[in-house]
Amino acid sequence: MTPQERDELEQQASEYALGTLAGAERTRFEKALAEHVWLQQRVDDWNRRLAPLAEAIAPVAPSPAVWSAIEARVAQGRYAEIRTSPTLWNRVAFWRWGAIGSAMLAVLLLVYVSLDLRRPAGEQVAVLTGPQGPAVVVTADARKRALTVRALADAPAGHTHELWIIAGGEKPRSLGTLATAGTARVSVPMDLAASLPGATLAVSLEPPGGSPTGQPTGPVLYSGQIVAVN
Amino acid sequence: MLGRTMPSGNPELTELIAAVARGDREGLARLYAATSPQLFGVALRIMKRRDRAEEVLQDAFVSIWQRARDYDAAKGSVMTWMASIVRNRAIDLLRRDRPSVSLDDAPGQESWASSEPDPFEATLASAEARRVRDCLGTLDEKQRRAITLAYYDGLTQEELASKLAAPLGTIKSWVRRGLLRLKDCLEP
Repeated sequence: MTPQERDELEQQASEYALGTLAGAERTRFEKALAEHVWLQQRVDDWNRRLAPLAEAIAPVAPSPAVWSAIEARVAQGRYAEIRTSPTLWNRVAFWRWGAIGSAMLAVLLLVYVSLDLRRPAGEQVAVLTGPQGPAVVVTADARKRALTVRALADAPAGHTHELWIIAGGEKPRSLGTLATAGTARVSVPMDLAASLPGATLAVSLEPPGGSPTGQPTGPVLYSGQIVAVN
Repeated sequence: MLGRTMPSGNPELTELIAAVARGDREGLARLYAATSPQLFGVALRIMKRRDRAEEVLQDAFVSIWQRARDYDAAKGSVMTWMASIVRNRAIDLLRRDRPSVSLDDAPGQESWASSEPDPFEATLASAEARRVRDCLGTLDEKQRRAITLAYYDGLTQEELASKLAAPLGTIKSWVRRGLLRLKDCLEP
């Protein structure tokens, strides 16, 4: 790494902690975070400097259901959950645009869809994170319909990691298992290739050989969303 | 006036986080009771929706449960350490939420209409917070505005560019230089 690259990453660390990095730049940075421990330290330092700003925010009591959920997850060891982003269709706010009319809606949908299709089919990247930070880095090329998956840790003894793709509010579909740290190539079925951008990838803990049911049976350890990197 | 009751280096919180680190679930419950309103406020400020903020708070506390062993005083006060976990999780989910077409200005969009937190107005209990506020005061107005908007509203640099009617490069410059100045002030 050149000193300029290192300096650029240091500056981005401050932006990442503040939250202003987004999209491809954010994903590239998270990829770097997964590879450089010193960079995570910089981000932690910035978090420490900025966090006292939170004191100016007024407290608000959460509903009792939140504690119940935390208690249950801690008791059952369910430390990570997939939080998929609401699709455009599911967003309540989107459907509140009653005043706009269906013709305008059709135009907007066309714009949304074509913005996605016009993205050059370059490398798409997902960084799957768990509570400890980045754990799995995924590079995807929609044209080749293959994923390169780099796992940063072995699955625990007696288990395997299984990789799932969750596209557009559908049920998870398995892309295969990853037992050890290292890099693996996984092919993406043709009918899923179009749903790669914006899809969620997740890794669950399964018995050796993967889930016996075709759906995740163990806890979700890491998850992340595919974003185009140009 | 917004008053705070969580001074930095709060011995009660330090004991509670140590208990949580030992796997004490009652310690987690007490930590939650002592800190969740403040932390939920942070989540709500960023997510703007209660349901999403509750997901963030839930994920954050499960993460705190797992990571309590890694906490030490070098990471700042217990409260700021937890606030970082909450805010980072919120930003993470928020970045996944944003669609290609911005719906933020949609009519009828549920908007979080509470007044913007102002560290210069609030009564800040901890010395840490007062120090950050004072150092923020040494920044150019544009740098300060970009940073506080980004911090409290979770805006991306593109959203800041739009809101402040400035090119992206200028926004990045305000943010980077402002943060560097802040750092130099906090750690001379």
